[in-house]
Amino acid sequence: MSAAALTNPGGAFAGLSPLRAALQSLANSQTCVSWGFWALLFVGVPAASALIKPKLGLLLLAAFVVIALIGLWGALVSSLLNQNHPTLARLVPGQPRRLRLVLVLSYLALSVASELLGRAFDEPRIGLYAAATLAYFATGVRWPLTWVTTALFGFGPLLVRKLPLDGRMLVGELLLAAASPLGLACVLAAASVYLAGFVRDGGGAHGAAYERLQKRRRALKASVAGEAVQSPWFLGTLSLRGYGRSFERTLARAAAGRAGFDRVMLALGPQSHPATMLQGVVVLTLLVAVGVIGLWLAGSFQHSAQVGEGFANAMFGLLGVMLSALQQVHASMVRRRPEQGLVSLLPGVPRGREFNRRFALALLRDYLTPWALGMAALSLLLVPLGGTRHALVAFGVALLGGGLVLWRDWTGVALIKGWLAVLIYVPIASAAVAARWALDARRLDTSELLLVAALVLVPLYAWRWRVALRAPMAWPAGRRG
Amino acid sequence: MSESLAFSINPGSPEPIYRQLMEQLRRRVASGALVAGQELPSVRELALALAVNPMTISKAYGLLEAEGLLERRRGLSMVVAAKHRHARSQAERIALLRPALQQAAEAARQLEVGPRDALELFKTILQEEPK
Amino acid sequence: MTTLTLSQHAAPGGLALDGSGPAASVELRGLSLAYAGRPVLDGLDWRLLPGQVVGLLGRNGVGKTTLLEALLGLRDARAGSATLFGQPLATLDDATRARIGFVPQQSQLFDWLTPRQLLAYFRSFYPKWNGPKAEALLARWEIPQDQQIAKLSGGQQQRLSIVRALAPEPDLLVLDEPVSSLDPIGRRDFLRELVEQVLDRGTTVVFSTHILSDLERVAFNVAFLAHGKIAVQAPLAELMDDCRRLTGPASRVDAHLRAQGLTPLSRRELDAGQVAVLAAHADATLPEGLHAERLSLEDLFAELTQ
Repeated sequence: MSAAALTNPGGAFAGLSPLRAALQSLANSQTCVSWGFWALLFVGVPAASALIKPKLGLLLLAAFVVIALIGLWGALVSSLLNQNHPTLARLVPGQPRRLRLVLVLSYLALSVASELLGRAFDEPRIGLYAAATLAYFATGVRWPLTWVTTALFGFGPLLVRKLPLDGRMLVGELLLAAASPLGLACVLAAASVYLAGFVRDGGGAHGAAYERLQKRRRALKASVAGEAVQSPWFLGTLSLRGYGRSFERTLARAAAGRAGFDRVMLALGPQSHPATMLQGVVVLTLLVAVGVIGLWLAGSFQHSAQVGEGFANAMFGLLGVMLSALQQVHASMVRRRPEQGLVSLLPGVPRGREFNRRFALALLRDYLTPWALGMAALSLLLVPLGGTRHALVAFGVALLGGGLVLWRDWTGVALIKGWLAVLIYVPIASAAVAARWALDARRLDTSELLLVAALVLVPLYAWRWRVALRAPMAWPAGRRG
Repeated sequence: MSESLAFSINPGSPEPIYRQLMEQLRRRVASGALVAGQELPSVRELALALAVNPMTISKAYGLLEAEGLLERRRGLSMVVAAKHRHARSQAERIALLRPALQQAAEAARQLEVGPRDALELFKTILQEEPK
Repeated sequence: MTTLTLSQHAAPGGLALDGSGPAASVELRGLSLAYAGRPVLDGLDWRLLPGQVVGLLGRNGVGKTTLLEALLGLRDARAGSATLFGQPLATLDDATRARIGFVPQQSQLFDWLTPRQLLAYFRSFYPKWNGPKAEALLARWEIPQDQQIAKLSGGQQQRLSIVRALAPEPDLLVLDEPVSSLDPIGRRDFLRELVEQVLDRGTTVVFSTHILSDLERVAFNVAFLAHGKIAVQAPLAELMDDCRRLTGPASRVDAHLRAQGLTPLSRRELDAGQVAVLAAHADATLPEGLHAERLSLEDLFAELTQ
C-alpha cells in the first residue's frame, strides 16, 4: 500500500482507493485452495441440506450469505482502521476523508440494500436490523471488549417483556418509527456520524490507539500460530498466571521426587497447557452463569423451555474452546520443536515408544479435563432450565471425537494455514448438530446415542493409539524431516 | 605476569597460532626482554588471557622446550633456559628478522616496487618509527 | 574422509585412525540423512575422542545444523549408525544423557519463562548442577534473572542458552553457532569460558561457527563438511603447517603429486589449463613452473568446501 496509491487523484473512483486496498488485502490473505474450500462450504452445505428439505437449504444459504456479508464488513472495517495510520493521516491530504467516505458509503449501501431486500420479501424491519448489526460489528472490530456484551443479548426481549405495558408499547412504537423510511434515514445518519468517528486524524492519542491495534493484530495472527505470549484480551495476563502456578507446583513435585510426565509437558508452552484451557472454560461458564442468573432474577424461568434452547447454544461456545485447544496443541508441537529437542535430551525423560505412550495419555487427559469440567459446570447451570439436555449430550459426545486428532504420528507435522484450521470444526460441529437433531426428533434416545458413539469412537481410538505408539518418538516433532 | 598479556595473536594469517607464539617468545628471549630463569605464565593463565586452546599453548611450550629455549622446572611452570643467559648474537637476531623481511620482499615483488625504492622505504620507516 | 598422517608429537586431540586408542565420545558411521527432500548427509563417518575440541566448518546450508542434530538423535537418519559414549542414540540411558550439553542455534527458547524459571526447570532434571557457577555467569554477563526471556536482547538470550548448557558440567558439549549474536567482547568472554571448561574437565567440544578467528583460537581440530561427508578432519595447526596450495599446469602438478606419493585434498580448475591443488606437501622442493603457498584458515575453508 504505497503512499502513491493513496495520493493518486486520477480516476472516478480514486476516492474509493481504500476500498480497493481492503479488497486487495482480503484477496491476498487466501489462496486458490482456500477460496475453493470456502466456495465448497457455502454452496455445498446448503445444497446438501436442500436435498433433505428444500426450505432448509434456502434458509442455510440465506444464513451463509448474511454471515459472509457480515464477515466481509468486519474485514473491511478492520482494513480501514489498519490503513488509518497516524502519520499518513497527517501527511497525506484527504486520506482520512477517503477512509471515512468508504466506511460510511459501504455501511449505507449494505443497510439500504438490506432494507430494499426486506421490502421485497415483505419484512419491514430488515433494514433496521442490518443497520444495527453492522454498527455493532464495526464497534466490535474497533473495541474488541464489546464482544463480551454478546452474553447479554438474550436479555433484550426478556427485559422488554418485563416492562410495564406502557413501556412495551413505547418500545414497539420506537421500533416502528425507526423502521419507517424517515426513521431509518435518521438511524442511518446517526450511525454514519458514529462510524465516521472511527477514523482519526493523527496525533498522540491516535498514535497510541494505532499501536494497540497493531499489537492486537499481531497477537491474533500469532495466537493462531500458537506463538502469542500475551493475548490481546485482558485474559492474557490471567493465562500466564495459571501456567505459572502449575509450573511451580510441578517443579516442587519434582523436587520431592515425584516428577511425572507433566514436567515434560511444560516444554510445550503456556498456550497448550491445560491451565490455559481451563481458563477458557471458566470464562465461558461465567458468561453462561451471568445469563442464567439474570434470567432467574428477571423471573423468566417459566419460559424456560424456549430460553433453554437458546442457552443450549452455549454448547457451541464449549465447542469453540475445546477445538481451539486442539489447534493450540498442534501449533505448539510445530513451534516448540527446539524446546522439545532440548527436553528430549534430558535425563529422566522417557524415550521412544514409552515416551509416545505417556505423551498420548497426557494429551488426552489434558483435553478431557476441561471437557469434563465444562460439561459438569454447564450441566449444572443449564439442566434446571429444561430443554437443554439434548444439546448437552449431543455436543458432549461429539467433542469426545475431538481427541482423535491428538493421537498421531507427529513426524510430519506442519503448521496449518488459517482456513484449514476451520476444518476441524466442521465434522465435530456437524456431528453435534446431527446428534442433537436426532435426539430432538426422537429418532434416538440418549442411551442409543451413547451406544452409537461408543461403537464409532472406540475402534477409532484403538486405531489411533496403535498409530501413535508405532510412530517415531514424538519429540522433537518432525524428526524425519 | 604482565608479559602474558603482551602476546598478540593474529588468527587470519597462514601461520598457525602455536607458531606465532613460538616466534614471539623467541624474539623476546633474543632481545633480552625475557631473561634466563624468568618464569613464564602457566599454560592455563596464558590460555585464558588469550582465549586460546590450552593445547596450543602447551604445544608451543613443548616445542620450545625441545629446542632448548625453555626448560621445565620441578613444580610445573616453564622458565627460560639458563643456557640463554645472554642475548643472542647479532647474527642470530638478524636471522630471526628474515621471515618478516621475506614477507615484505614478496609484497614488493607483487607491487613491482624495485629494490632501491623498497630499501629507501625501509630505511625511512626504521628512522621514523619509535622503538 | 581424508585425514593427514600425524606427526608423533600430536596431542591427545589427534585422531587415531586405527581402532585402538581411547573409546570415542561420538561415533557416526555411514550416516545418511535427507531433509526436505534433499540428501544432506551421505554416508558420513565421524569420530570424536574425549577431550577433543573440534570446529565444524562448512558453507551455508551444507547441513551443519542437521549433522549436529543427527549426532544428538534429534533427527532420524535414513541409514547408518550413531553412538554417544558407546551407546546407540535410540537407547541412551539417563547417566549418558546427563553428560551431554547442547546449545542450539535458536537461542530464544522457552521465551515465556524467566531465566530463573528456566534454570530451575532444567536443574530439576539433572543429577549434577553447578548452581554457583550458573549464578556467577548470569551476574557476570548481566542477565536479569526475573525478566521474561522474550524481553531479553538477542545477546542475553544466547548467553543464557550457554549458561543453561554449561551448568550441568557436561562431558560432551555440542554448540551450533553459539556466538552469532554476541559482540566481540562477548565472544572473547565465551571463548574464555570454553577454555576453562576444556582445561578443567577435558570436555569434548564440537561447535559450528562462521567466525573463523574464534575457531582458530579455541578449536584444536577442524572438520570440514562438504557434499554430505566430513571431507577433512585434522588438527588445525597440522593442516596449516603441512598443507600447501600448489598451482601450475595440470599435468605437471599431477605428475609431481604422483612422484611424492601424495593424494590431493582438493582440486580446483583455473584458467589456461592450470589447477590449484591442496596437498600435505610441506616444504619439499618444487619442480619448475609450480608454485606453493601456505594458507590461512579462510583459504583452507574456501578450498575444502567448494
